[in-house]
Amino acid sequence: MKVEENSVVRSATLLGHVLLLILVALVAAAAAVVIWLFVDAQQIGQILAAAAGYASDVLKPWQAVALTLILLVQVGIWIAVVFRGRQIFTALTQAALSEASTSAGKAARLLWAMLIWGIVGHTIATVVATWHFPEGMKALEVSLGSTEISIAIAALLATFMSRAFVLGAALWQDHQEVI
Amino acid sequence: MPIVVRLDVALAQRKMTSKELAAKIGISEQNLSVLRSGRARGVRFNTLDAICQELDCQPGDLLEYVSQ
Repeated sequence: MKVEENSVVRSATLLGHVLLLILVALVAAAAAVVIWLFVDAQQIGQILAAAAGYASDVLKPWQAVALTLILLVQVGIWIAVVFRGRQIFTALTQAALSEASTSAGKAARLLWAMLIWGIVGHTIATVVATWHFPEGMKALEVSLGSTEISIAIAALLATFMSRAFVLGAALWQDHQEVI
Repeated sequence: MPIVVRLDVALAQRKMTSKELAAKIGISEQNLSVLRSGRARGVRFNTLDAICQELDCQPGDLLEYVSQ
């Protein structure tokens, strides 16, 4: 099968640009959350507690800060994943398959970290959001849903991609060294 | 590597430059240089075929096994 090299490079460049935009959006979102925390900690705390499934009108400042930190860690992992994704496409545009493979491997590990933090972070968030609830109403929730399954599939795909890139790099090297 | 490429000898016997051979068989001078210097990991049959056809020789005239 003949692959049109220019179109592959164009697609990789385009995806690199798209990921850069997503990266900028995520950094902006993280900055906005931090600013919001300083401006109105109570409001962001209430929104995050509601998002965790335990809406509450009154939250202590530490609860708002803790919920925001949980969110920021999640956004931080997202930023790292998108950054690695961008590195994959940048490496592909330079035909550096081994670098693409390294980045795909790191992206896969980050996606597994995202999956773990998604579960652990939600559990911590439920504890924090219900900390001031009366006895018997406090919660410790472990959630496994379609989001976690999607992330697990994405992590598996990224792991597969990194292995495919390793094989591709070896084949490319063979192609270059066999005259 | 115990396989030695004798392309230089074959070219010298025919008073042909590697540039001419590269142009005739349709591969780059750089690749032919890699092959001549023994730095190539392998040779494709069609490359060998083109060289043998152009130099009117056998693969054994170009490659020699030297035990170490």
